Amino acid sequence: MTPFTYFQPAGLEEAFCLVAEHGPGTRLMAGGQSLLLALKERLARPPAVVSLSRIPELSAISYAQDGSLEVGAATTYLQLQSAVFTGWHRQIGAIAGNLADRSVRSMGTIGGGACQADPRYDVPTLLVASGARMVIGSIDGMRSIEAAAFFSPAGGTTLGPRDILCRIVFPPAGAFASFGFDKFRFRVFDAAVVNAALAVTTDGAGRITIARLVFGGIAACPSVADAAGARLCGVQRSEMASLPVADIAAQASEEVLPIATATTRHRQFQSELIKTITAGLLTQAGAPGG
Amino acid sequence: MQTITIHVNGKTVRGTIDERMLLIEFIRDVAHLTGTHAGCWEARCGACAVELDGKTVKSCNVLAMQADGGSVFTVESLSQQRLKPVEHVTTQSLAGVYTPLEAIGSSAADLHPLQKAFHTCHALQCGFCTPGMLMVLKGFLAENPSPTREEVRMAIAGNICRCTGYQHIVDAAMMAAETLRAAGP
Repeated sequence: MTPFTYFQPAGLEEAFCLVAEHGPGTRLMAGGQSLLLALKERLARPPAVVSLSRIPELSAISYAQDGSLEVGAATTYLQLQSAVFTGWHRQIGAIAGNLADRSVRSMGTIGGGACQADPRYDVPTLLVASGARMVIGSIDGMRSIEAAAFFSPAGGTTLGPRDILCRIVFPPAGAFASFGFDKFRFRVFDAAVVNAALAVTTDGAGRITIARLVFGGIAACPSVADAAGARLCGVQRSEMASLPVADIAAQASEEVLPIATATTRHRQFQSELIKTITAGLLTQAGAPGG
Repeated sequence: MQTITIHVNGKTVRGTIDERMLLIEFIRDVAHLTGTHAGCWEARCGACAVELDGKTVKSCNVLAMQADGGSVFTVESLSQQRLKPVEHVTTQSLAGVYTPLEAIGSSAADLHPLQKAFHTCHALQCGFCTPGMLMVLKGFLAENPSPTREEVRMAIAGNICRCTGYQHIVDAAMMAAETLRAAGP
């Protein structure tokens, strides 16, 4: 690693000031599980590192008045895995508990995963599919943006040099009639070759109003299969079994990874995986309790 | 340079260190506990696993600064260390005369159930991955005292072993789990 000054602010305002004061090269560290790898390889050479791990509000899990789940950006995967959630929020814990490995999950954070923005990671897919809001702060003030706007189509995030991701706000526990997530990776601790999430919203009559089908690992940012998802709209959730699952899965695959562009074996494998995983998610969403 | 304090295996260790010092370097070079092994330096092999503030972490991927004021337990904490010098040591004399535990003046009764199970089940050959395996399994069994073999395999997913093929490590974990359950809380 190249030398750096290490700061451990006790509060968010102090962190905003440190980041503004020490310039655009400053790196933030929550659990350090991604940053330290970069520092060790000298892929990052920040003159200053600001730790967020001693700011209590950044690792707090709480509920807003409307039932939205507010998760501090520096909340560890272990905290999420251990939390008692209801409704679709249980999937957040399940996803957090099924990535990387035990030791990395103790230190790694959901905000860190989001800011690292590796498209193979599970967190970006979770955030875009659930329509989470990203609450970002700096010395210039606070703002909140949609998860989809947080990830740049070219890769990485749209965070400014003085920004700190403070918390992630997920829709309430009852927001989705069904929220499914699945992935394929070679070894348990590997990043996904393809991951996918399907968030299904229904109206009072049980009719699907929104179906967001999102894939990770395909493009530089999460890929949304709008057309394939739209096939579900208007369908009664209880009648999902009548949907042409294989056809919709094939459409989703073609939409996010056109077969004509899948010129390598890896891409062709991903194309097949998209179909298989999507079919599984659709079947699961239509099953009672799915 | 900053001065930090970490409580390692119950002992307060203070050091003036470079900000870049990793927790594993603090444990090995400042606290002089060499049981924790650096296998890869990139958080992949898990040989560096230790317990930090009650959670298992990969000490090669944590800055010592992050652990300032915290409590670390290493593999050395699993059993009493009673090393007595052997008078005249050659590989032949030790192999022919002593079993390894007797040679270092320790006894099976001193070992943590996990260590005993690793010994009984031949869960180590070169032993390099073993400290990490033990620390991860210790944390895992505390959380899940009655695991299935599949759950054990998932738990050690972050630990690589080049020697054993993992089967005996899983055997040892299952044996230790049984011993720990029988011993009660």
